[in-house]
Amino acid sequence: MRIVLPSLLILLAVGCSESDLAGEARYDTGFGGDSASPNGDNDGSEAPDEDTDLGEPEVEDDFLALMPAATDVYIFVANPARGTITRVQVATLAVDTTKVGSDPSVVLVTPDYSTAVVFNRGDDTVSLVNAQTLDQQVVEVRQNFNRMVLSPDGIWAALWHDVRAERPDDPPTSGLVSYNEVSFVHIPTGEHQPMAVGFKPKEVQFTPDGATSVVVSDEYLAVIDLTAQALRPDLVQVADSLIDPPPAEEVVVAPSGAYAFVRQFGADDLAVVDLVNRSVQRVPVGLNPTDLDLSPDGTKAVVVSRGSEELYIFDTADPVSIAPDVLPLPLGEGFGSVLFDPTGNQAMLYTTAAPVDRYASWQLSDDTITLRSLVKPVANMAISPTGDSMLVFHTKEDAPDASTTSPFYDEWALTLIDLSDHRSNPLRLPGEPIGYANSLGGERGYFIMEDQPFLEVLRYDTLLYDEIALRSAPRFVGVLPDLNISDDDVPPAWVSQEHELGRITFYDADDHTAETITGFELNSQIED
Amino acid sequence: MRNLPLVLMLAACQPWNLHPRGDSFIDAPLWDPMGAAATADGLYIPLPHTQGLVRITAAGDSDLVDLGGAALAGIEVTPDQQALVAFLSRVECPEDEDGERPSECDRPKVTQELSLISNGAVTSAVEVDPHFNAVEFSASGNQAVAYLDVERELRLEGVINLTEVAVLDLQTDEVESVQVGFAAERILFTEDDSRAVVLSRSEVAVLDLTTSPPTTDVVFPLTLDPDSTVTPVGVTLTPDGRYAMISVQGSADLYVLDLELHSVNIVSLSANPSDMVVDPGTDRTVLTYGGRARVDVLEHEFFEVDSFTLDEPMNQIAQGEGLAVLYSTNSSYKDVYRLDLATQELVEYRLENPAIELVMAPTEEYAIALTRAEGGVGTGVSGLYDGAPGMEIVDLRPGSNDTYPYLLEAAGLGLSFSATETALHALVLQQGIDYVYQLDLYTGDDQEIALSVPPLAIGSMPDGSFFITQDSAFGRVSFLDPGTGEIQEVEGFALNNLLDPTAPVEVN
Repeated sequence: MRIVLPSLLILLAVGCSESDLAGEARYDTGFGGDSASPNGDNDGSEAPDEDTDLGEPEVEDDFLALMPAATDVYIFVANPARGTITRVQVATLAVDTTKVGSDPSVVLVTPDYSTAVVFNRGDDTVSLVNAQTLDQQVVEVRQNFNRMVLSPDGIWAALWHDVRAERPDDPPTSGLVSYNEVSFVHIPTGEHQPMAVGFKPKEVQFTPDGATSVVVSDEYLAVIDLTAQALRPDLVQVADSLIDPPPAEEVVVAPSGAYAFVRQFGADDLAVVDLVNRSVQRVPVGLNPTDLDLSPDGTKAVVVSRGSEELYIFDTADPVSIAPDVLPLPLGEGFGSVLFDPTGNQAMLYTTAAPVDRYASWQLSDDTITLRSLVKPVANMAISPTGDSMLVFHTKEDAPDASTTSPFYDEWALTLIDLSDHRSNPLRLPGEPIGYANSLGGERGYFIMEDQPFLEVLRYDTLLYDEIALRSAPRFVGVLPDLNISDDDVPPAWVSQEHELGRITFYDADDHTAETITGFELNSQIED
Repeated sequence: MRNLPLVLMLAACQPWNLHPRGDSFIDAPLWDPMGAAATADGLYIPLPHTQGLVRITAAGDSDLVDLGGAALAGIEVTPDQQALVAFLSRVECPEDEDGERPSECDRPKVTQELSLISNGAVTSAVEVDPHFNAVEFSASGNQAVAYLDVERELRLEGVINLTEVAVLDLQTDEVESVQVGFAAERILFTEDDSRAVVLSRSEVAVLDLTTSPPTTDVVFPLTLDPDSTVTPVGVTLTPDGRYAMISVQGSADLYVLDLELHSVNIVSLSANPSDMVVDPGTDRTVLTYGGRARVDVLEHEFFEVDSFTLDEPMNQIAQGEGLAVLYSTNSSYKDVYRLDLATQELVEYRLENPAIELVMAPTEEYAIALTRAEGGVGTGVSGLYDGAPGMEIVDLRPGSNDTYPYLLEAAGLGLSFSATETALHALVLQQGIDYVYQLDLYTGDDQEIALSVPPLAIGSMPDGSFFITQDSAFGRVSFLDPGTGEIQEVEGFALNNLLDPTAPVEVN
């Protein structure tokens, strides 16, 4: 699947899902992609060495998804071209737009929904916007950043330059340029604390309590005590050698905050960093580990080793002393990615590195792994919040042995799968999917396609779909928070669309109505 | 009207326009038969030559309205037809100059008043800037906004602020200037008189009329690009007054302005609308398009559109209660549609010839379309219809899709209705024809009402009678009682102040 950064960047962000565990506070990266691979390119954009045979990296991220919200009263939309953000009140759909800095590229909301944090890449500032009053404080940060994340407690915003997230329309640089810097902004006060960490930081993670942050770069893991008066990085060397270290690809933090796991490209072991005493242990993980994930309950760290076709399952409480469980994968399939269902009952194993039209389901209760077929190779997978259903987005490219008479041959496609019995409904698509979202109750899924003015509604109970016409081409899709979980109302889905003055549609699945708001960027110029 | 200028042998009476031979030439008409304005207390007619105003009653009386020495520049009837607002211009010598007449001073001062007139007399007056030439009233008639309408005759002198309007409180005679956008051109009031919506180039201002003085509550931009101009052309308000809906020139966008929350929503229509009306009963807006065979019905909660496909594009809407009649003045189309907004039933009618105008009767049971000759060369009935102008009755009653065509002797120029409990009369004026045609739509009784002088314009009086202005240089109006057929003629009223040496203005 082609992964393209939107030229008309309209980003929506809502509060952090409370289901995000292990400090994996997946606040929107601003690039519609997984925090581990913001450009959606791969888990490590650097190409493998020519003299190695590691194959293509996995694309296991949920680059199509934007953040769901557990609860909130607002949605914030960034309008980069106008230097504004728009606030949509969920209950009333009342819209307000206010000026922020130049070229706001990321807007995130603190978990208490009190503050919208806007990164303005055009003038290297962060706007801290009071969600209620839209009053704001502007904080200058270091130059040339392109990513921002928030700590789980919403106290800190971290910004850095990720070379994998560079875009053709990035503001030009001039003068001195650093590739080692990170800015931390204390959101309640607006205090700015910049620092230098390792070369080319890839990712910033936090412990669940928000007390510690880790910044992974190729050589080092910078550990920052966020409770200190003055922040400073404590560098922990994760590379065996500081000369030409392997690129770091992923870091996850154990729910306890005791360990960080760093996966490096081309390494056959995992760097386990003790965040308490800042020591590093390297544990073997077979050949060519291509994916690292935490189980939904955070008790296991799972590594998929594509080269040795194995799963390594670590106990996150003590990953060093307790030997990992090792499961063999179906041979010859090249599975390199793992995706847990949110309940933790099962996980899917698949690959995006090669045109393989199969996947395997792994039952965690008995560790049985069942191989299953698909109509086309996998570009991405997503499981509904209840774990009942799964979406498989397929590549346009076909498997080598695919029949040319297949209705899916050389077409975009999507498969809905009921995870209770794995019955499926493959759908041929008129365009490339560019975004999806699931209702929090797991009843419906939504997706949008490039240049197709429709919101596609998937009914997971029947595996059938409905098509809702939009006024213009969609850009992003999401689901509104459920303001009253005790009633039977399903919160609406939203779709932002291309329009020079802003456009967003809210679809209420309860009564099948769609309401569209267009031109909300004009609101910033209304003179009261 | 018969030829003017009229040569009058009045040289001894007035000093103006003295011809070398001693004759005087009047180069403006004595009265304006097309500018008659009907109110409850009579028919008011401008007198262009003397810049005065005369009131005529059905009883046959005619009275000059005392304008206090000012010159009449325009009139508007209040919405309740109980009064008239007149633009009165006054030219005086400034205090620091000698001279009694404006022609005798170097810097004559021009002022303008807006005067409320009823029962033949000025009851109140407020001064406004001289360049204002149009006024819009609130539904109650208690508030009005005066502004410069560049489509009308301009009276431009000195430095003019093109971003202000004058808000008039007709109850207290107070007037206040309020800043709005550049070139205000359309004004609408909420039902409760609390707000006025003023359209101008690329923005819309909302005036708060509950404050004293009135203030600008909010200004909505229609574009963020200073290089592009958005020209609003149509505006309606939802019945609750919360939303203003604005169509713009050359665009399929309908701007929906939330006057309470101060936010903008743009509804995408299928094309640039040619007409739109709001139906208070069903709380919906009906939109038609000159270039698209479709009618859209917009509800006012979510602003979602229900679309109905038509056989032909309709560019006009005649509005009733819960009813919209769609028609086209394009010579290529002959369809008429009745859209019931409650049931969303759409009924198609077919006219014999294309419509010039369609007017719905006050009872909303019928509409009458004046049609144009098509110039066809066919034979038989079709050829007869094609070659002649006509009038077609459209039966709007539920269950009917009938039309009843009539041939006219000449092109229809005007149409007016008068309704009672037992009769529904239509009066038709034809070009160059010396009679008017009256038809009772309930009984089908009709008659050609002969007039001693050819008619020029017709209209209805608030009491249900018709007035007919006629081609007479000195003024002639007939009042027709449609029930009895009785006609009361009034004539010569344009001469009333012609010989009056205290005539208010100088004629150059």
